[in-house]
Amino acid sequence: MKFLAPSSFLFLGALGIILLFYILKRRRVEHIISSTLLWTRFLAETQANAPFQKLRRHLLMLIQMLAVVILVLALVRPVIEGPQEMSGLNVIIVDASGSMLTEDVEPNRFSVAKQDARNLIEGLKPGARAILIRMGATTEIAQSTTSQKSRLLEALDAMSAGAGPAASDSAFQLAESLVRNPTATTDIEEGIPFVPGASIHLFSDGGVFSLEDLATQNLPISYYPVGSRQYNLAITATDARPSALDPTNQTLFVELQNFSTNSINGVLTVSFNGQELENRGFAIPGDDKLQSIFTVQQPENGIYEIVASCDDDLAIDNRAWIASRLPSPTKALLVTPGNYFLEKAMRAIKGIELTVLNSFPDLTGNSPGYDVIVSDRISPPSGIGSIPGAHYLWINSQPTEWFSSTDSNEAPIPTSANWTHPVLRFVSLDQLLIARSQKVQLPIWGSPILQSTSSPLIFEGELNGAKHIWIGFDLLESNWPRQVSFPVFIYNSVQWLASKSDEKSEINKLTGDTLTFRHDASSSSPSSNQKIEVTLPNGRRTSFQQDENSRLAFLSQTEESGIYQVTIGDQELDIAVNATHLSESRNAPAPSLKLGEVTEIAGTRILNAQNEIWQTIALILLAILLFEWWFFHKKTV
Amino acid sequence: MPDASSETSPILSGEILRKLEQLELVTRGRSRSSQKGERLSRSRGQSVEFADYRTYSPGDDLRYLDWNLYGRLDKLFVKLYEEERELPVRILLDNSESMQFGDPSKYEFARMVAAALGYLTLSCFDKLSIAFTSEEGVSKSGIGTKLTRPIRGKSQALPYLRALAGCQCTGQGNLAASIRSLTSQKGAPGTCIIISDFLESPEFLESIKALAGSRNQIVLIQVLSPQELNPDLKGELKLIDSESGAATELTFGKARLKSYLKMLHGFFDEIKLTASKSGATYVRCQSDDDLDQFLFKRMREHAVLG
Repeated sequence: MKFLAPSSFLFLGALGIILLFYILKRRRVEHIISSTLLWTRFLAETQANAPFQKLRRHLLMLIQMLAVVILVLALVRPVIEGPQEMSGLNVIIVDASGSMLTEDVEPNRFSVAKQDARNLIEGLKPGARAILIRMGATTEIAQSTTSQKSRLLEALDAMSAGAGPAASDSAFQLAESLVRNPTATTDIEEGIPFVPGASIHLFSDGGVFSLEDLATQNLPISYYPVGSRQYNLAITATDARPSALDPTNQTLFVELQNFSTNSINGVLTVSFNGQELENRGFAIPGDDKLQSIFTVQQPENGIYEIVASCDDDLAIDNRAWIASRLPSPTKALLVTPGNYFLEKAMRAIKGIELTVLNSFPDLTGNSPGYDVIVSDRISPPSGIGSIPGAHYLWINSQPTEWFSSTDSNEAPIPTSANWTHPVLRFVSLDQLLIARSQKVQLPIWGSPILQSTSSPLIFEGELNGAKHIWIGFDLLESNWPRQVSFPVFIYNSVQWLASKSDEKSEINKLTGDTLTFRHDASSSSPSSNQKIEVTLPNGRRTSFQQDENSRLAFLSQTEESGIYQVTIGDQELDIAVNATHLSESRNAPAPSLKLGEVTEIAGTRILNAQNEIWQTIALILLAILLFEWWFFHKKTV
Repeated sequence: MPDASSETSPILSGEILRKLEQLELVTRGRSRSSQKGERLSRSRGQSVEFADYRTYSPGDDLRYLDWNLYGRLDKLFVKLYEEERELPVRILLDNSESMQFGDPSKYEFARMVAAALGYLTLSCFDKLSIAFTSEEGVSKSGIGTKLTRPIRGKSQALPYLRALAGCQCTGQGNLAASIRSLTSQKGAPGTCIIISDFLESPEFLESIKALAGSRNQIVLIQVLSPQELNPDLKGELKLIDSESGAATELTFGKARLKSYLKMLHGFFDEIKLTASKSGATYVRCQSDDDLDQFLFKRMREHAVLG
């Protein structure tokens, strides 16, 4: 015999209650009367003295019949459709990425997912625990483990979707760590042992997940998909490039992509600093792209706003911004006892204001700020590395005590190079011969660009907010200056150090990216502890202090697309944050969740369980019995 | 001869006694008593009421010869007159403990009725005897046989009333046995007046039938208290019989009053039916009824008094 609800045996306690009522001695009032004859006759007449009698309307009979009906109803064990009740530990992950703002379902996918999650939370059995995780651009624990439904629902209500991508990796790593049983041993075939009764519930449109690592772990995942269709047009790429001859003549590049199978028409509008420049109609067939190029005049630094007006389901990727700054000359300082090749190569760089000295000047006073300082065989004075905004190219010199000991390598042979690094772009080092080089240990913050068998020959790194490129040999003791690759390397290095290539990427970000703020070299204040204020696109302000030991500051709350207005001291900076994520714009709802190539978890719904209601019926029956007792022994007298 | 109506009566007022003297018990038949009285009887005797003639026989009293007929017919006839006899009236008064109840007490009212009917009987020169259902009440009163033996004449009225006033209502009675004893009494049949609440076992109904079979005219006077006719009891009750001490537990309230009244009227109907079959007169009254109204209106309506 098996009992579906053995805890219901507790209802046997009701027998005690009923028994108690009946063993309670009634307090009868004694009356001495003339004769009990009449009363005896009365009792005899009111008692049944025949097998049958005329059916009369009798409340007691109706109540007893009702009780029997209810009892029978309980015995047939009726069930009602309702949310499936969850028990154990439930890790609830709600996708709050940009694609969840798709409005193919009313009001949007995120609201539907929240409603589904609400149903699950409300269906939690008493004692069941749950943790609520928001899977946005970052993974956040919206509500830590609790068995209080009210707290879970409150946290769920406060949850909102952002415009960023879904940080599915970190969300599932967190979920996996929560459901893992730390005391059990791992069985390779069985996968990771989990806490009994634990399960992970993902409410998402599927998106694009890189969950290959979870494929073999047999995670107890339930996937609740939302969304009905894919009908979206998005701005997938934008760029603004100045003309080589006239930097104020800008060329805007905009790519539109239609992710649906139907053609989408609309109007593409380009504005600069709020002033509309041009608009064009477009009609993009299904699964097709459209590149548009706009040639505009940009008189000053500013923001381009590009809007693709059309009637699709996802609005956040129909708008993009480009923060564009007019190019400014790079101030460079070459400190060298004399190097014709190096000076020649630097002077060949366009847009550079070069100052050549044979020793380091006093840079701590009111000296003009330099973007790039090139030190050729001259050791710098102490503290030179802390000049704000300056970046360094060290050639056979040792600016600080970066290395514990130095030695020399005779005729080192380059063995490996990081060809993907920007400074080696279009650089060939095949013919490079070096007479000798410094034999040093790569500092922990450094990354090798060119290495010999025993020592790095060139490495780069960032220290205290300043970028450094270090060349560990004397150029004049190599054949490099006479090769074509040398001026190219010098050009790349100056461009990389001057951050000209990074500037655009630092002020044009994607939602979910971390914003990085650094002092400009021309900043008047050398203070190392500045207040940074950021006005978010929604108007909300946030401020924080810059790190004392670094000229860098970071802001990771970038789930909203738009313009982030940053104030650092007396500097003002506009950063464009766009929601141009292909993974979010390609918002076809996934009916199943793929973990790698093989494992696939089918989508499910909040199951409607057939919940038995006989307990409720039993309570009603008990209430009727109590009413009957009260009515006929108290009320009627 | 002392006149009760002119003296202070312990039970009845002088006005009622005087009004009673103008009434008499109505009898349906002729008296079968052998004692002289004022009731017509089937016997021939000396009275003023002419009955018949018969042929003279030697030895007849010459004073009753009808000389006028002799003159016309030349034959001697003797005039016969109806004999007037007394009416034996037997009153059975229930003085058991149960009669003590009610406000006013049922016994008080029953005793007044018995006193009135007794006085009326004595005033009409009938023979009156009274019996009680509870011997205990009689013996405690110290009256003994003074009250229970037959009495005649108006001169016995005051002693009768005084004795009745001293009679107590106590003890357990047996109405059926008391009626049976009336049936078995020697003497001519007469009028039996039973005054009781009749809250006894149905056995007494059979006794009434037997009493009627002995050619007695029966009058049943049922006295009940207002509390018995419309009880104001409610709640969880333990009712104790005043006579037997038997307890009956029940739950009673307004919801069950209707059933009680229905049962009560069924009980009345039973008595009424038995009375009807037995040729008896059944009169029901309440202990708070007006005695004057009861005696001089309702008793006359029921043709008990005339």
